[in-house]
Amino acid sequence: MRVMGPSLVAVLQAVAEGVAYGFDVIDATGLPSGTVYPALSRLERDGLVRSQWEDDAAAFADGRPARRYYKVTATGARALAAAVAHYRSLLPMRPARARRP
Amino acid sequence: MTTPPLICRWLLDLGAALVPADARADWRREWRAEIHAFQAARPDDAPDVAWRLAARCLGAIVHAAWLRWDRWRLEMWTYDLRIAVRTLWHQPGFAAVAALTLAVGIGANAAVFSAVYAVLLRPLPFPGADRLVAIRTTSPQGAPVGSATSPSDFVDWQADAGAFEALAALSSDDLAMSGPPGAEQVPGAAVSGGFFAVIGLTPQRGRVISPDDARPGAAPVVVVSDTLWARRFGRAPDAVGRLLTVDGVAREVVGILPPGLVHPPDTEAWVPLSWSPTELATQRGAQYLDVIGRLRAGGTLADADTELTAIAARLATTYPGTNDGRGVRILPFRDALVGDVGPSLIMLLAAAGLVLLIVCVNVAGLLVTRAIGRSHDLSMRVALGAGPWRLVRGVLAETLVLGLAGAMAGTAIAWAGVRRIASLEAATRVPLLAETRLDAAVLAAIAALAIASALAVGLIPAWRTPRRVGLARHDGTRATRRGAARSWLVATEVALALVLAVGAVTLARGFSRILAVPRGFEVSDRILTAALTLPEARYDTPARRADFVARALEQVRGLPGVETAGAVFGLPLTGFGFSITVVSKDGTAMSTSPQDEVVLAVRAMSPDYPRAMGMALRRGRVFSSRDDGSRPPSVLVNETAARLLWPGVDPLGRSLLLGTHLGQDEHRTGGTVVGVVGDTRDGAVDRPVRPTVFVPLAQEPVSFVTLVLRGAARTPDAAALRTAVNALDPDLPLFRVRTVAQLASATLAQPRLLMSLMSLFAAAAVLVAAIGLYGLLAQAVAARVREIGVRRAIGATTVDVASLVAGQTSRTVGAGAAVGIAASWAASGVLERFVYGSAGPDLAAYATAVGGLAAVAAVAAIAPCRRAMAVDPAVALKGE
Repeated sequence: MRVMGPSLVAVLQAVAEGVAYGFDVIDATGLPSGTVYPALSRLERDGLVRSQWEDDAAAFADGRPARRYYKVTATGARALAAAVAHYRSLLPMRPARARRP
Repeated sequence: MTTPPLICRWLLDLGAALVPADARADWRREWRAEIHAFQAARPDDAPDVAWRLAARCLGAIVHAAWLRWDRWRLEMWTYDLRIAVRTLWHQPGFAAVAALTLAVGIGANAAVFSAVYAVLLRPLPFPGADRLVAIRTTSPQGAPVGSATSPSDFVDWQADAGAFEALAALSSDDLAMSGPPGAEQVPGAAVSGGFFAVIGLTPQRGRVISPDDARPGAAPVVVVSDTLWARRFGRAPDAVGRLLTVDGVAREVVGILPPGLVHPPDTEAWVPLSWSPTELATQRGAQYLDVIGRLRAGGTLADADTELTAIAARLATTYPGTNDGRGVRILPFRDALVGDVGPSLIMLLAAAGLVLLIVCVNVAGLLVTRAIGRSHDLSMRVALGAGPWRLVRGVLAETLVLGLAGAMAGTAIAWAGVRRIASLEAATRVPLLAETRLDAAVLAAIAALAIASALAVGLIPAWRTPRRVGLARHDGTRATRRGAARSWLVATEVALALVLAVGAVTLARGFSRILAVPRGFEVSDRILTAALTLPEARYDTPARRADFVARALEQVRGLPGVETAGAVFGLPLTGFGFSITVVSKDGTAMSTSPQDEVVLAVRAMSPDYPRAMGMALRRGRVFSSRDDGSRPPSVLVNETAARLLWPGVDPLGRSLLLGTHLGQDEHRTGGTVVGVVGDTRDGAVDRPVRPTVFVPLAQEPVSFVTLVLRGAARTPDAAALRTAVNALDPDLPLFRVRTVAQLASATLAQPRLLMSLMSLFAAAAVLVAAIGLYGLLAQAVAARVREIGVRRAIGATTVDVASLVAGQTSRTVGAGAAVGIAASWAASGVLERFVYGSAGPDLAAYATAVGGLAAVAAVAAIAPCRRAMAVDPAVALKGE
């Protein structure tokens, strides 16, 4: 399987941690909206997250429009774990130490 | 509820236009809801809220563009491809021709490139192969490369050459295996102790031959190949440590090499090679070793060459008798292994490249024609609202489908081609050719190239299509201009095809000249040859050897269908190179200095051998059964030797003595000349005939002989021959059982490979060019139906109409042929070196190629011509 890019992983991780709405993901990750939204659409297309609309009536009662919220799927959770493991494996095992002469 | 700022509303409107229609409402709804939430969470007067919101809304455009692109990709893959497949399905003729044309180009190129890759490019499977070199001794004349080295010289090189990590010597020879599961002869090599370290081969089991194994008096050992392990031991795990009888000596199997390329290629058993101090002191003139070396890390070929040349010069001063004028030449290992086959393969690759070029040009032509034929359909689509990009996508998808179909069929062609190449007779003659595999990377690269070029040419009509839309359907000027462009494409194909055709015909004519050269013996399937080696252990005296050969000949002569049978040491066409210096002639000593020495090829034969081979007797007599050990030695010479030794004088009754003894230990080979036989060409026909002396096998009973059986009407039965010989000695394997016709054919493997592949490419090229020509003419006739109708209406005859088509055919083919002839002429120098008996461009080949091409062009023109002649003026004009 192809390794997900870092921004895709960041977005997926944010959703997995319960950040449900697009603009909140922007705030959580610090990534620009032009990165976050295509990432969300792509993750949804690939079945790693799925989206639903909030209940219209409840939102109306709050005096605001219903928002679309995202949830990570089981596949997405596995893919996230794999991606995180991959990126972690790239880190050095222990910090390099200068060798004494 | 707050309203989004104006800038955000604009951006959302703009983005919504990009988003695919079915996703638009949700997209807008989500963005609006998020903007609302953003505004609700922050007071309006908070600093830079408006700016931050505007920046976020810019992302909406990116999001919308991404959604559009993603959808387009999906459509491209599903919808456009589905439509493309359906469209092509309904035009099977066009689709099949285009895809098959591409397949021929891809398949031919992938197959030939795989062969070139295997022989010339793929890294050899030996570690650090780039540091491996072959070292050869050059003769005083400096010419023949491939000369072997004597053990004494090798030992001196080994001691003094510092540019090498190590040197190793080997001597390839067949080895006779006996004992269960049966006697057989296998390709073997005797190697010096450090051989495996130099070449870098490691065993899969056991160990390799060590320097200790190669000391005189060491226990006899043998290392075997994976195939021999499988064949003789059934891959038994305990094979290492077992005994194997090799040339009558029981040797312990100490190691098994892994499958794959070994050195020398196809060798199945390796035994240690050693020399006693006496041999080293006396055998400086015996040159039979191939030497390889491993350069030190960072060392260069030039440094090694300088060093060895200096050593050779020193040896020449120290041992002028044997080493005077002998030099050294170092070659990269692969060059030594592959020999002179490289240029042939490169030429084939160039030919295959030309085929691919013709194919691409042809497919471009087909697509252009098709685009023109579909302009009405495309205008209709534009009228119904299709955008320009949409049309381009449609054409690209079709090209891609064609390219993929072509690549798939091309893979099949390449796969079959590679199998064929690897199984060719030439593969046993051309080192590494048998290692040819269809390389996935090679195939992918060539398919990508072909598809990319098809896409590129597909783009031309696709790009022009939208701009043409709206033009009048019968715009005569434009149709003519497009026809002219197509004519140029076809003329290019004709030119390229002619270059290949001239090359193929020239090679074929050269090959037929080779076949026409008289060999000096009968090249026939009626003559069967089979080699055998009499093991030293059982046939230790000349008398025993002579007796066995005489009894074996007696036996096989009685076989059904055998007319006569002889035996020879030094069968022609086998690369036999046993040559000895003449030391005295007519009782007078001759100079043996390298400059003046007379060297003769020496062959030993039984009385019936010349008759069995169909050789001519020019003077005197052949040997008889009375020329045995009890009689004074007699010899035969060939015409070249007679001219060389006794120019203008009758050689009969004269005598000569050679500087060696063959089968007898006590006297030197030679004797009185009793006859002169016709010259024979032993190897390649373009080599000069070697002066040869024949001695009676009964007087010089060597241990390696070839039986030659002449059948009365057809090939003698090989199984019966084996049974007859094994009735005398069940442990004696017969090997290299082949007819003389097979032997002759094997020596021609390389020129035949070149000729047949070149002919195949030329045929493919001419066929593709003919398809192109047919397409051009058919299109031209279809475009000119109205014009032809008018011409007919005002009195043109069918002949006039036919001449219209014929005129276009001859103009296109003529222009292409002129360029093709010029290009062939310019390239004739390249071809010349591959053609036997070539003296400048072969005019007859040009005439044949042009004639053939013209004939094919005429055939391609028949159908369009008939169509034009059948145009009914009434119908054609009514159609308007």
